[in-house]
Amino acid sequence: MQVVDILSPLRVAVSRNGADPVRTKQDVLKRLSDLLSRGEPSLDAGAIERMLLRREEQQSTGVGGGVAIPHAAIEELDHIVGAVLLCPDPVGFDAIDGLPVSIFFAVIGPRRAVGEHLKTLARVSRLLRDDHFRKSLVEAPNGPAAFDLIAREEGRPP
Amino acid sequence: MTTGAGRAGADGQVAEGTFQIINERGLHARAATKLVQLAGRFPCEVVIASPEAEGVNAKSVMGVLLLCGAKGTIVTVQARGERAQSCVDAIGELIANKFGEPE
Repeated sequence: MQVVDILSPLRVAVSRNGADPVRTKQDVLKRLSDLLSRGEPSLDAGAIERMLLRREEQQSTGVGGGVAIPHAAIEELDHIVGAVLLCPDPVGFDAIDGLPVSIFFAVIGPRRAVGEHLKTLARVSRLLRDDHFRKSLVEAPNGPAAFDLIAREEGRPP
Repeated sequence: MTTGAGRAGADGQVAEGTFQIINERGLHARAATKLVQLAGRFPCEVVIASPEAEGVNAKSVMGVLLLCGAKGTIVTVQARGERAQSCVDAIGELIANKFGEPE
């Protein structure tokens, strides 16, 4: 499994703080929930948002280095779905290193898929561990361009 | 579970321990975060290896997530520097205590 397998160009977005700004944790989770529900008609964005928020209330998923991996188990799902929101203006997210977050990689999946969930977290971490890649990703002009960057990065030999 | 004896090297203390992940959900994000927060309280350098990843920084959540530590995974913790043995012992205890999670 690769990270691109759980994404789609439709579920990758760059936030430009124009008409619909993303400035708070709530804004981020709402936008991610909207992205996650795209192409998944069985999913209700409001329900996803509540589950993501509940998880953040337990402990922030801000893993440091300007990255957060919001995630939740969703009963209706039978597969893992991912979405990416890039915020060139980083958002405070109570991350472990205290730094604001510019790369949000959300993951939802079935409750029972413990092993798959861990593999997904490992793949996302492998993708985002490189400083230069993170910088270029945040500079992507739009969602489809960011999706292409991710696909290209994953295609490189380690 | 084994813990290697601490020994004094040229650059200070070195310690190593091998532990099995025994909690149902393994090294998921919250467990990884607890481990990183614990490692961060020690001044020494700490790296962890699993069959999936070698020598990741125990003070980085993204590093620890790379281990892909499902239940049953054997991890090796190596610390180098001040309080190295205490650090390895504390991480071993956290793993043995299932990261304090109810199951």
